[in-house]
Amino acid sequence: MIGLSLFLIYLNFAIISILPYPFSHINIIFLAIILFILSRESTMVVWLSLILFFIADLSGISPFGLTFFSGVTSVLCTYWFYSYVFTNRSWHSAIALSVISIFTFRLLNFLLYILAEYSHLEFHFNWHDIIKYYILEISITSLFVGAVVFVLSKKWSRFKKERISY
Amino acid sequence: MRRGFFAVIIFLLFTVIFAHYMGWLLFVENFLRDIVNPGSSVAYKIGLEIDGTDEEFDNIDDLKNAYRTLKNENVQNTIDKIKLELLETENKHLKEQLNFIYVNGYNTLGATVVGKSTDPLRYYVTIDRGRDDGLQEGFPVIAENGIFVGKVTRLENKYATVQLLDDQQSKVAATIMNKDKSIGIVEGGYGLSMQMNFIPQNEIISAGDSIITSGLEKNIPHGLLIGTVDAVEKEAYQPFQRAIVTSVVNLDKLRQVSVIVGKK
Repeated sequence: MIGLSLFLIYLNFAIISILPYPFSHINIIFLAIILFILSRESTMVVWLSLILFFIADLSGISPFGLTFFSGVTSVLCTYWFYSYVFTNRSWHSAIALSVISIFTFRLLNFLLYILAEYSHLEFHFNWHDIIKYYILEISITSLFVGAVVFVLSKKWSRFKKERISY
Repeated sequence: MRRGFFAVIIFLLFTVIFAHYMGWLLFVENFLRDIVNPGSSVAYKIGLEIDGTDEEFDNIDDLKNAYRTLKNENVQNTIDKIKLELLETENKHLKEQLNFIYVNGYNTLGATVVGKSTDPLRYYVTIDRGRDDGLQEGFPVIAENGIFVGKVTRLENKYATVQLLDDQQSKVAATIMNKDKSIGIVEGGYGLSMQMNFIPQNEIISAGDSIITSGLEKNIPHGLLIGTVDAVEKEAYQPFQRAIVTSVVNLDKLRQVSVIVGKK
């Protein structure tokens, strides 16, 4: 689990640094989490996200806990949505899950950041760039997730479209 | 998924965050950072090799215009250099006459940039020097022998995080090289540019004026180049005006930097 987390962190650095715009905005961490949920259908994904976002938070500059808390909470929400709302492994469900997970993560992260830095009476954001970044990240990651799930569903039975049994 | 499971995970989240702030996880965190940072370094270097650090031009006319501008600036710089040398000689003689003792020069420590921020809300880089090399929080970081790019904000044993000038929490006391030597605060968080605020309305500033550090902050010496004025924004009946500032280096493509660690 730790090895997989480290591998995903390295891959995330590689994608941000090496791939050209707009592919550098692909959030490989959430892509991996969605694929994990669809293939394993297990709450193991939450334990993976605990380790993954703990490591990711260590390399950030924001107060510790922001990325960690928002990441794990968004994965919990995503798994809940998969279990009780979408309940299937189609490529369009994968896209919807991806949109929900990244949107929840970014929203929580942003709100917690505002709360944590409230003592800085004056802080300003370049709203245009931030919103553009978030929209691009959600769109391109979700499209990529949908494409990967579509391809995998043709090859592997684990990704075939069916309802989960609960 | 049971309710109990949610409760366990939320409890675990808060426990880990509490343990971090109590310092109980320091050993684990340092171990993980020592594993993660080299990976980030490799990815960042490959990214710079692929991207290149040179400025890009959309067409040949832009390249020609940039060349002409540089040529004219070079001629002006040569003239200014001669004037400067004459002034330095005169200054030296005057100081000798006044028996004035002046300490000059700073010690710097070279560092390589090994990673950059993955968070769209913050702009920072990671360098391969840390506490073990004698760095402290607040030390200024420069590029290319005197261009101020940021400050050390977080330290680990072998690495440090440098908050760049365009980060939304960056604030630096600065002086404009105009006739009035206007002072103000250069703030980041405005995308590719920065803003210099709290410049008195009555002082004259123009596009092209250079902006340097004012020396009014602890650890940050006077005279480090921050950038140049791109545009001036004035509003009637306001006590202050604003200048839009652009850094003279590309803060996204830093390779080698130096940390100013103290006076010689």
